[in-house]
Amino acid sequence: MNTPAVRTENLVRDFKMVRAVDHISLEVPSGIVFGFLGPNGAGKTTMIRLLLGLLEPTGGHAEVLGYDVRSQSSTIREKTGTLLEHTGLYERLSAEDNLEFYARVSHIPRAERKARIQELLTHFGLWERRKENVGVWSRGMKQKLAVARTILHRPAFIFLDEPTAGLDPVASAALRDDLAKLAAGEGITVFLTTHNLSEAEKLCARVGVINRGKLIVVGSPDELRAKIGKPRTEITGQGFTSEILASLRARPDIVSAETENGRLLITASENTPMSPIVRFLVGAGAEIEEVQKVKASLEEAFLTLMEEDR
Amino acid sequence: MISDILTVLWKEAREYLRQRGTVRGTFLTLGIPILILGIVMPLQFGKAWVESPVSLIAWAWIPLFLAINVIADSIAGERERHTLETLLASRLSDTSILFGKIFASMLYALILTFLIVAIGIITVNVRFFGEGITFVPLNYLAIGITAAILGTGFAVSAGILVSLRAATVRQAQQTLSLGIIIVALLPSMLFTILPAGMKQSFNAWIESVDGELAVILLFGFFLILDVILVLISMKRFKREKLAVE
Repeated sequence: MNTPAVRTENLVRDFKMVRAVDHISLEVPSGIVFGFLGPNGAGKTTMIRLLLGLLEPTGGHAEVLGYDVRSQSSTIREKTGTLLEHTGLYERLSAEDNLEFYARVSHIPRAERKARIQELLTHFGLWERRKENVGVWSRGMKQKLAVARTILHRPAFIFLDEPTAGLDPVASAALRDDLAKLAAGEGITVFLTTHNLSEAEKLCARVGVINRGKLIVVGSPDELRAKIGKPRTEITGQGFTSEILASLRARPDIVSAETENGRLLITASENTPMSPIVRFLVGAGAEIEEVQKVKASLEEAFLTLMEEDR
Repeated sequence: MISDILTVLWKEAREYLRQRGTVRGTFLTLGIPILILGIVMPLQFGKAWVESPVSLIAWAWIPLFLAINVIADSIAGERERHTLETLLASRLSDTSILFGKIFASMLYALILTFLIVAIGIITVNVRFFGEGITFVPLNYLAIGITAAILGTGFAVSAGILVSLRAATVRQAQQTLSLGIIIVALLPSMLFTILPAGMKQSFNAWIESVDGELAVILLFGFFLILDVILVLISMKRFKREKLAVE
């Protein structure tokens, strides 16, 4: 059986009066992209610091790649790559020197070093500008270089803390594609924290949701949507009067009914067929052009979870 | 461990060379102290700049000022520029990072000081060309080199402790500069306020002291002080503490 990439049992970390991580028990299988989601201050970054051995747990137990975070943290740092909240790049140095430094840190042999740096800079489209000081680069380029540094020593596991934060949509999408390719191509386990739920939906095989230090739920995005988000039906047409809305809301199988930009949005209980509802609407005088069943997004599931946990 | 220390030293050296954005800019900036202390002052003081024991004091002070600037940038700057946490998340040990920074700062300050001194000696010899070679008496040279090394060690280790507490590089540099000025001026200021009788007794005592023994004792004191400060720095420079801060 494969060793899980991350395994924690009742992991706790206190900062004076604040409990930043509260009895988290989690297992992340190897070879997947795992999304760790939560609002600001939920405990995501503290969790990464604990797993890297940068912070000592107040209680509980944690292992990364089978190594204990208390006694084997230097081995964990050796076998993992990390991109924290800030890129951590030396802005006075060139891109090449930044990678050269971390290649030396990782004891990559001299002969292999140059080839690996060239391979990564070329992959991220930065090779031509390798001699420039990183300080003059755009945020997107810096972020790409930081990702290159993270995977430079071919780690089995990488931590990415908000990797697309502050990037424009085009740069975010490009970086997301790169991460997906790298995870698949190099077989790396990725532990990703993000606020961007559509990003998590696209990249992650499994996600965990944390709020106020507590792990609320873990599962695949599909499982979370099915478990928490309720299916919704969007009906395009005309004549959705307030009487019709009131009648719909009175039905026991309807959770909510509202209009938005001329569309009627209906959230029904699970397994409720739509055809009787459509018949009712037509009978009540509404003109229907299109009926579309929409799956709940991960964002909706996330917001529901946050609401329930309040 | 040694290769890790050398790796950190390599990075620090690259950063020093580009502290003004470009290597050229850095050399132009470094040209100012070299010009003043290596050319202008030796021309002004003449042979005394090389031969007088008083010049040893000046030589001992140069690396202190150079060292405090780079160590503040190396420790407080790394935190201010958000590169420290990534460095701590690497496989490097706390000790390798710390000693890489200590050696890099000391080497920078000492190499630059010895360069300034060498240029000063050349300047004096060019100025008095044809009057025979002027060189530092060997016992002064030995004292000067030892004083520079111990003084730099003191400045760097004290610089680490101050920089770990400072919020910014500027704050660290200001605190350290002020500290060094106070340390330098305090004894002479205290001396001036002493009653005349005490001054006379103090002068008499100074004249009776064995100079060689006094130098050895002074160096011994600074060596012990340096070791203590480095040990405290090692205790303070820990991942857990730095990550929490």
